[in-house]
Amino acid sequence: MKLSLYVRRDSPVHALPAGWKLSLLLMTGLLILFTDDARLLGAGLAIMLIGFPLARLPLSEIIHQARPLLIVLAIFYAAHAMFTSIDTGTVLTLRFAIMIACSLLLTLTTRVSDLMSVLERTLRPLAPLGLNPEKTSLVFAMTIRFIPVLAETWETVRVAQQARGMDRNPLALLIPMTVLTLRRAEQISDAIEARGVDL
Amino acid sequence: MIAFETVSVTAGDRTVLADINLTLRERRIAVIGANGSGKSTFARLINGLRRPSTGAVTVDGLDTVKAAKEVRRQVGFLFQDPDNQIVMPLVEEDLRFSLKALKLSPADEDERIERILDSYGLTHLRYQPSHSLSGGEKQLLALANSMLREPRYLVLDEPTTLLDLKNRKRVMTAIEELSQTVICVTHDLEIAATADRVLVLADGRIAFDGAATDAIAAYREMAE
Repeated sequence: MKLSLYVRRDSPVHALPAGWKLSLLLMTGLLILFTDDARLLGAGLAIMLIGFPLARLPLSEIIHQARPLLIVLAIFYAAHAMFTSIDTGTVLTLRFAIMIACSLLLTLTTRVSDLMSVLERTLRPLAPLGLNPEKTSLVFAMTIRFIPVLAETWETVRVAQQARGMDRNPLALLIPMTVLTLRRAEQISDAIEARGVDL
Repeated sequence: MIAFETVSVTAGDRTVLADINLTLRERRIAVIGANGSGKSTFARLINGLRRPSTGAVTVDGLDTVKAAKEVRRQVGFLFQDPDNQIVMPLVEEDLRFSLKALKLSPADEDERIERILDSYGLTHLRYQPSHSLSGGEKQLLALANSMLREPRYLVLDEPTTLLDLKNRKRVMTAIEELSQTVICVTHDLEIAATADRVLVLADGRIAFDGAATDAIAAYREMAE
């Protein structure tokens, strides 16, 4: 299971329409800005976490995979505890944790094609202003699709530079990564065009 | 029928292809040649991914530049790296994406997707994330994507280069069974040997055009 990708299950969370789930994400993002009460935010996080077993997704594996994010949250909390106050750190960390849990629940239970349809419908009124809803939603879908591919490319570059003893040099990693990603982008563009997709 | 009429392609000062005049009617055509000989450009000209600098390429009378959209419906294209060809996170979503341009009803889309998955032995992978597929499965999915729109021609650009022996065999068996006209750009002389006609490209020109055995012998001679 990859955290950014849909996992097929027969659950009430999966069955909820993508538009509703996106609206809930948006509403949650707004609501958590209106309270500084750590107990309320803690309860909100607990509700979000209940969503995972409800969606028949193993919470323990999700927490395990989200470890890098949790480390970032811990550093964020520690920085606030040191430089502002523990209370501020608690509130801000809980807000981030809620949003992360909410976003993960959305991507794990909603097919990208369903999110694309919602995005296309939502962006349609902006089409006269020059925004192409199909292209925008495709960019969104491809971002999710290529996260694992780019992670693999990064690992290949890192191992290759490690073999040359240069894996601690950021430029030795970033330059080949950028070149490979741009080359890949060109080939993907050709492939989409070859498939006759009219955008 | 695919026709090249005095086709040249230049990139800056460099001539990629020069003065190509050809008519392709055979069912299986292979294009071989050294790296940088213009093979991939030749392939991309057939479905309008590259424009000729001079001359014209036509597919069943349709100009690949002027009628690019219609040509792409008739000419499927399989790239070397399937990872660059699969754009959606799930296998089913990727197939559905290919059908978008045809504007079929959901029931027709489902029917076509079921049929194509079944014919390539991919039914069990329908709801799997595309990144989790093996190299061979990804290439078969890319092939299924190309065939989903029922083209009359299929252009393959080194389709087995990144595959191991087992997956190479799997993909080649699937390609051999196609009823479509197949133009395969390859370094694999074993694949070229099965073609009805083989073109050998060297420095952007057709250095040899003929039967597989003679073409491969000529290519080997050139490489020495």
